[in-house]
Amino acid sequence: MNSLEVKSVTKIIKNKKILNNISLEANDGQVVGLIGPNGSGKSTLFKVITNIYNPTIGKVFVDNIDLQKEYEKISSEIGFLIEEPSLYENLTGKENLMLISKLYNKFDSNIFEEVCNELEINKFLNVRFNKCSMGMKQKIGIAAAIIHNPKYIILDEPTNSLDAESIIKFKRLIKTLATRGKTIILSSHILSDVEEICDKIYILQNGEIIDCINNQENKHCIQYLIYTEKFNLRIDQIPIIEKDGQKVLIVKEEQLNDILNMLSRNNIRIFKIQEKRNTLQEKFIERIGYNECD
Amino acid sequence: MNVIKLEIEKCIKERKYIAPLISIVFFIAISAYFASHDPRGRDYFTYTYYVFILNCRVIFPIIVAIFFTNVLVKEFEKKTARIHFLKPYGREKALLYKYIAGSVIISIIFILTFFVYELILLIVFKIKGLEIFNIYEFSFKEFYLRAYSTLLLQIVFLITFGAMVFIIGIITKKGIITILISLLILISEQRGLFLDIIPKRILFLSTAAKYNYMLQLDKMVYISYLYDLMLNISTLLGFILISFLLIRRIELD
Ligand SMILES: Nc1ncnc2c1ncn2[C@@H]1O[C@H](COP(=O)(O)OP(=O)(O)OP(=O)(O)O)[C@@H](O)[C@H]1O
Ligand SMILES: [Mg+2]
Repeated sequence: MNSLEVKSVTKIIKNKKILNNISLEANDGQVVGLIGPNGSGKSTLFKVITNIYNPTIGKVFVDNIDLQKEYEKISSEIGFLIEEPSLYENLTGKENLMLISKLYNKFDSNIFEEVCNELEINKFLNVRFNKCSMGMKQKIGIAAAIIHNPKYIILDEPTNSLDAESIIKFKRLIKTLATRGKTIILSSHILSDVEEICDKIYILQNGEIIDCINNQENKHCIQYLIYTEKFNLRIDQIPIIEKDGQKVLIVKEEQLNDILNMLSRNNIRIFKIQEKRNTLQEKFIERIGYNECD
Repeated sequence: MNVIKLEIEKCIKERKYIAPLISIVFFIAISAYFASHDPRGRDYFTYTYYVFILNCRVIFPIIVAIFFTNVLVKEFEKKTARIHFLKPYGREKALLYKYIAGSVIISIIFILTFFVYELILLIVFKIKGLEIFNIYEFSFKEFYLRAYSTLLLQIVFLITFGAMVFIIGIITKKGIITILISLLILISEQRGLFLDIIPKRILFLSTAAKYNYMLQLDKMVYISYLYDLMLNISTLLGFILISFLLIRRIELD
């Protein structure tokens, strides 16, 4: 059973189709990534998921509740940060966070403290929000998305303007939240981060989902490149290319043993064996189709 | 109840009350100055109410327009509408609580102004040795009854006007445009532009300064007063209903 489901959502703004027939699913405890070029519709999709926008066609279900019809029932279980933090400029970070947790009627001092510690925002909690730096604002924005302990956490480019150390801590926090059964959907342009923390990744382009990658499988999908001398044997199902006068066999992990045996039986010299991990970046480039990129 | 309290706290913490307060202090200062130069030599009490209620036609609606715009439209402009209207109790209630909080603050400000203004004028009149009270047509008790019932009507008028500002704010989502349209409506009414379309009897705007001469009347016409009070209240409820219908349909960005 999927706890968050986007069903064939189309969003038209000012006669322009921003999202086109999008379907997406996320389960309990899953971290789902959303990647795509600028303007592909990531933020718009997030706004539909959080009921900021109404879908033109289609529906969003959270815990089997139709978001558009019965949003009130589920609203306190959804926390979000979309584009920039939407907080009150004249209030301090602390006042903002208190306000949010109180408005959701879910103020819990333990969670409050934990979130502040994890994100290391204690130092500037009493600074007025419009006096905060970009990174400080971003951290308070992330805190605001999780301060009321929601089950669904929607984060649009959460690592924007965070420093390197904070990004590492943030990723750790996301993993912890996922182990507690939270469903997290996030977007980012930093593919290595997405690859590291997400279980499932959707690729969005021009308002359409063009691929869904199961990251667990993708991570374990390792290929080997075997560089050998030239030979005239035909080997079925193995792609072979020629490079610098050598043959290169592209072999999957489970085929590796058989191929090596076969090569040695035929006395074919092996120069080197290289491990090739199928990174998200490669997959992304392959799907989006930037030919000029290497 | 709790939420209304939070909303009021938010307004206070965000210092939303500052603009109306400054304009009101300004208003008191100017009025106090003119009071001491009143050529018609009215007594203190007549003068207090005369000036105060006359201002319900111009200065106070402007303050209300700016204040209510500030309270609501800022949420759209600063994108905090996302958190404000996506609450467990729903958009309608979020809007209603906001409206109540705004009305409470503005009412408190006006009642305070009323008494501070009265006090200041009292001092001015005392210093100048002018007449404090001159019972010429009715009793002191009757006078107060008239004065406070008029004050009540003015406050109801102002918050009805505030509800209208909310509707414009929801539609335009832009602060400057909301204030301009509200003021345009105000001016149009005073120039009588609406009278061709809407009969005066059912136009709440026309009740704004109806009673500014009440002190000169032999008898205050309470039936007509009650009618105007009900007119404002029903218009107010109508406005709230319209804003409920609108807030459900708009997008919060
Ligand atoms: N309110 C709006 N009115 C008109 N067009 C809009 C609106 N919001 C978004 N768009 C358009 O929708 C498309 C998708 O925008 P969106 O912000 O969702 O992209 P994104 O994937 O989040 O991009 P980025 O990576 O730059 O954040 C863009 O072409 C944008 O111009
Ligand atoms: Mg975006």
